[in-house]
Amino acid sequence: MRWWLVIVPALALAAGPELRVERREVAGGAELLTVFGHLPSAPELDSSAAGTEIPFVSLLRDHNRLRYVWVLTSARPSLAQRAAAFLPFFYWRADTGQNTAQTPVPLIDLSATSRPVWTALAGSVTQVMALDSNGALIRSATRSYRNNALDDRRRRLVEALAVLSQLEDAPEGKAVLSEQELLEIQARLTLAKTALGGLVSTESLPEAYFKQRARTEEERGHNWELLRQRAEANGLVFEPLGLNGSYTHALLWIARQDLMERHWDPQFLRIADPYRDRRLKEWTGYTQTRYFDEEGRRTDPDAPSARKVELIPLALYSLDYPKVPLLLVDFRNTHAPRRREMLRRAATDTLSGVLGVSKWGNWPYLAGSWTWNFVTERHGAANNRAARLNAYSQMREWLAMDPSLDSELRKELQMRLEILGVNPLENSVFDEAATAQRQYAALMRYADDPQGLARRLNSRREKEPKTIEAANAGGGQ
Amino acid sequence: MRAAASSALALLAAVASAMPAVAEVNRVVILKVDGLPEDLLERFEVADGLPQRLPWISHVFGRNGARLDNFYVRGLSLSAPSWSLLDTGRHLEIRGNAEYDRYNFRVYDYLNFFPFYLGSAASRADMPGVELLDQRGVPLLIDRFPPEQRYQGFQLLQRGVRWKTLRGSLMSRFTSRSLKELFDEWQTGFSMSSSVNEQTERELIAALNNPQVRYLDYFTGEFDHLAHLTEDRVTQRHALESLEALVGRVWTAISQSPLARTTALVLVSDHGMNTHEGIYSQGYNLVDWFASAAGGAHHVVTNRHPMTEFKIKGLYPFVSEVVTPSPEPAYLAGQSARYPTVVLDLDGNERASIGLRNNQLNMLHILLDQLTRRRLPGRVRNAAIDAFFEILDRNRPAWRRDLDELVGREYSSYAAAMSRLLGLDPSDFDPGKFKIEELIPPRSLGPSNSIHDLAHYVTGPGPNGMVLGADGSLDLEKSFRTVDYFAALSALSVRNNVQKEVSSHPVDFIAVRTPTGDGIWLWGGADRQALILTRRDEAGRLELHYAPMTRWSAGLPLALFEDPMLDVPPESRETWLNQWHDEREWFRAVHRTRYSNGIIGLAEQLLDTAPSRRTDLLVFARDHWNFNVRGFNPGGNHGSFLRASTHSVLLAAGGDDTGIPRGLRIAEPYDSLSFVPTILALMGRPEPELPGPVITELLPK
Repeated sequence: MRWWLVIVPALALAAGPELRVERREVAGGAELLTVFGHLPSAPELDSSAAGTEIPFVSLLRDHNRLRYVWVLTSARPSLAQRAAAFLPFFYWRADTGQNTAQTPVPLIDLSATSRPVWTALAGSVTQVMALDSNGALIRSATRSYRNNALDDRRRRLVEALAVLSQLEDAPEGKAVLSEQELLEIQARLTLAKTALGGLVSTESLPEAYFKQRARTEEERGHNWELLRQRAEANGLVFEPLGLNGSYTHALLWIARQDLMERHWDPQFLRIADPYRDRRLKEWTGYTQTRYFDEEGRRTDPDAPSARKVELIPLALYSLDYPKVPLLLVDFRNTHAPRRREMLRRAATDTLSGVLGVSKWGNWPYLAGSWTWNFVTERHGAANNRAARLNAYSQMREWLAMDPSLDSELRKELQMRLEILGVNPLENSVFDEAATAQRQYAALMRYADDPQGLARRLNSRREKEPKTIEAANAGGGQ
Repeated sequence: MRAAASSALALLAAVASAMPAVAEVNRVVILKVDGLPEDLLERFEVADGLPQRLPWISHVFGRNGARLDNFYVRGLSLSAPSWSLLDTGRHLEIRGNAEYDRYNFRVYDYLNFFPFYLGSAASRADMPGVELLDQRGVPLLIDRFPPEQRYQGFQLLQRGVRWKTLRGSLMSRFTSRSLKELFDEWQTGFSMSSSVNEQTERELIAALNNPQVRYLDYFTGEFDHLAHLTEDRVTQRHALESLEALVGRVWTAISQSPLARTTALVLVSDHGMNTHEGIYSQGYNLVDWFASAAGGAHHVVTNRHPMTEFKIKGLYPFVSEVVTPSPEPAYLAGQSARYPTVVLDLDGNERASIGLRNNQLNMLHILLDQLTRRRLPGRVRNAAIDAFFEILDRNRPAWRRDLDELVGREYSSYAAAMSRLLGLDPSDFDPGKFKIEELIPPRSLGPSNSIHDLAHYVTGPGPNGMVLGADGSLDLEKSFRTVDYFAALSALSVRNNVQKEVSSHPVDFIAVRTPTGDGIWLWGGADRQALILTRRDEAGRLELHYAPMTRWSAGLPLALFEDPMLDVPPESRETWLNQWHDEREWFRAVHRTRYSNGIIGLAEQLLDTAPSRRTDLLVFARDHWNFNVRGFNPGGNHGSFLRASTHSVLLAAGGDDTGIPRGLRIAEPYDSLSFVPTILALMGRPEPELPGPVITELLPK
């Protein structure tokens, strides 16, 4: 199967954000590849970041073998962040600063993906066998920390994937990474988000990649169409957004002149009736003036028959969520998506953390929970925590990288999206540019230090034959 | 001398064994690929500048076989009708993926496997499409072979259930893989359909080793399913590579089989697929529109739940009829179960077949409703009774004839109500004596509508109820609310137009059978109308004539006049188009145009139809629009006559003795009617009475 040939045409798609890949030799013949891009961020929020080149992700390639991936836009959490992560029901970002000057820790070792699986399993066993029985306080604190840490890792995996998937379409990406390598990276990062995904063998990576790609593309198309039809049925304006010709999110607007009584069906939209909302009638927030032709297409102001429309933004949805578009930003109820997220987490944390009820040890709870999820998801509820986190993390990256968005609108969206951050280990999107520069500098120091990356690499190589033997014996990677 | 003679004999024997005395095909293996478009295969194979992309397909059908560059579906580009043409070689009996009996709402649900498998435990042996064909006396290609000589895979027109294959696919899902492979598959996602396909392939390859088996087929709907969901080229290409690998495995197995030299391998698709990377196909919900006041406030029947995936009852696999009540009914409030007034077949999606209740029955129903339930003033009441009988008398002869032709117990309740209605006499008519359902048949559309009825379709009482005219009779225009379905459907538009390749108007044109039954009226707008007329020449061949209602101009339905691919020089186009031509002349001239063989397909689809399964309106979606309501099909669709949807695949290759040409590309256009006669001719069993021409280029010279 010449599967690597299959992704070649994707490289011919329309351009996305401008990405540059820097190559840097590391002692021992390996090379460090760093993906740079521009953050078209709002200047008033972070003047140092606007328009400058930001290092997003670094990859270590060791003689045609892919090894470490670093996400440079986030750093090791500080002590205060870690402490906050232990607090049950603490659903806020602990903006206490991260250890941005410290050497970054690789997010994943692509040549040893099974290790985090065993570590996580050991953690789960310890949790159940040793910690859960020590009372509600310890149980809920340790569970909180583990959940936060797991979510933070997932978030960074998604961010790495969001950047590296763009390389498929970037000329620079083609020059430095082969199609096989790109496919392997994407498949591995995707699989690493699941509990046992790191154990999947290398031979199954192409199939994993294509299945995941098909699922993602199907989801995006499905949600694009669902949201367009819902917008149409409710008289709203639908605007799909995304990079490289792939729509990943969408905005719904309402025309100011349409603000009069009409039928409203909120199914799948999850926002309040805009036609009976006084706030919109007196809206002073962000608006955009656009011009449409007779066919409803956007046109220039001076085009014949151009119709001027003032649009008020209502909501931003991620199209990368199973079955339904996921509401991430509600312009009128900024805190509503956050409240929903907090409530869902609080319910889970109360049951598993405080009360110590486990699905696997309590079949009525398992049955009830399964039935509830099945019925509500069947009606379009967004119950999948991992998928929600996925959508949220991706959206942060897409917004940061999308050069086509109006800067003021981007600022509005990013500010509202920031509110959704419920993990104390997470950093603010507005700090990412500065964090990335510092982490990049730290990584370069580490790479140049003979006792740093080179030594780690040598030690890793020495262990390699054992790993390969273990893999051959059926132990995965 | 003796040594020389024996050497010569040995040489002769060697030559004789190397060259077939007579070319023969003793066995045929048919790979049936649902929805595989020819242009996509071509593009992936050649145009991406990566030769050897599909090496098996190139090797088997390119170098060692023949391919048709212009093979089309005849009729609508829908799976059930298309496979019925390919499997029978006869004109259409099945005209949609689902059809409804106008008189009793019986649903012919050709794609639903579940009732078939459940029914098989009792009496049903074949898929619904096969049962219908059997009733009509139309044999399948497979029927030419006795049971011990055939192997049939899972498919739409399937004879007999395949429990053994299903059981085998479940077993081998676990036994054919190592634990590691099973784990990997669990992590990346299991697929039940792939298990069934693998098992079918295993059985097919095993059957190849049995020299008794002469007919084998294998059906896959994977590409069609995927292309409906995503237009992503990488994903579609991966699906094609799976097909390519299948071709390789089957060809290798054939080469090692006892009848290798006389086996033909054929790959055929039933229709194309209108899928383009970067363009999502947009859906327009005709169910909601027909249920709305603007669409006539109908209670709407479909064969599946709209938005199935968001309903618990959408999980029920045996559903074949779903009624969506109107939220704003004009006169049938609370009667959605008894009086649905429109049936929609939206499957396939680039077209909708619409059956509306007989308009005259609507008027009678409303008048009866007014007479029985409202307190009408005396004069109005008398005028309403007069109007009632005037309408009834006008329709009596046709309805009686219609009733006489309906034979069978399944029509008894319709016949009973209609007989009572037709037996009414104005002299002793007392509306209070009857319940409406005793006179107006429930769950029935009744006879099909005339074009006039469709343009003046009564959807409810007028805003002021029953109104008298100056002469004291009922003013029918003011007493009834009407919809002109031609104007209303073509005026549909959407607000959000975010793809520059997609129009804001979802409806392209509407086709309706003319009352005489030998013509088709095409409506693309008030100034875009045309007629397709048909006749038979002295030899009984079909001739067609396209007549614009005004004059030849760009924008008419099927867009023939302006199409640069019409194979008629521009200077003589008008003259040529104004003449009658037989099918082959039309086919050669139009097959490369935007609507390919649409003119022939419309005649196949709409003429010679059974009255009970006749629809009123055939509505075609514009490019990149669809009418799917069951879910979403953003990847692509088919069902229309757009060339992307009708252009199918036919590839053939054979062993050394089959005489199938090698390295041949056939430019002459053919359609699905040619498939069966060609296979039979290749196998030395010609059936000249079959209507389609044999693809002679594929036969040994």
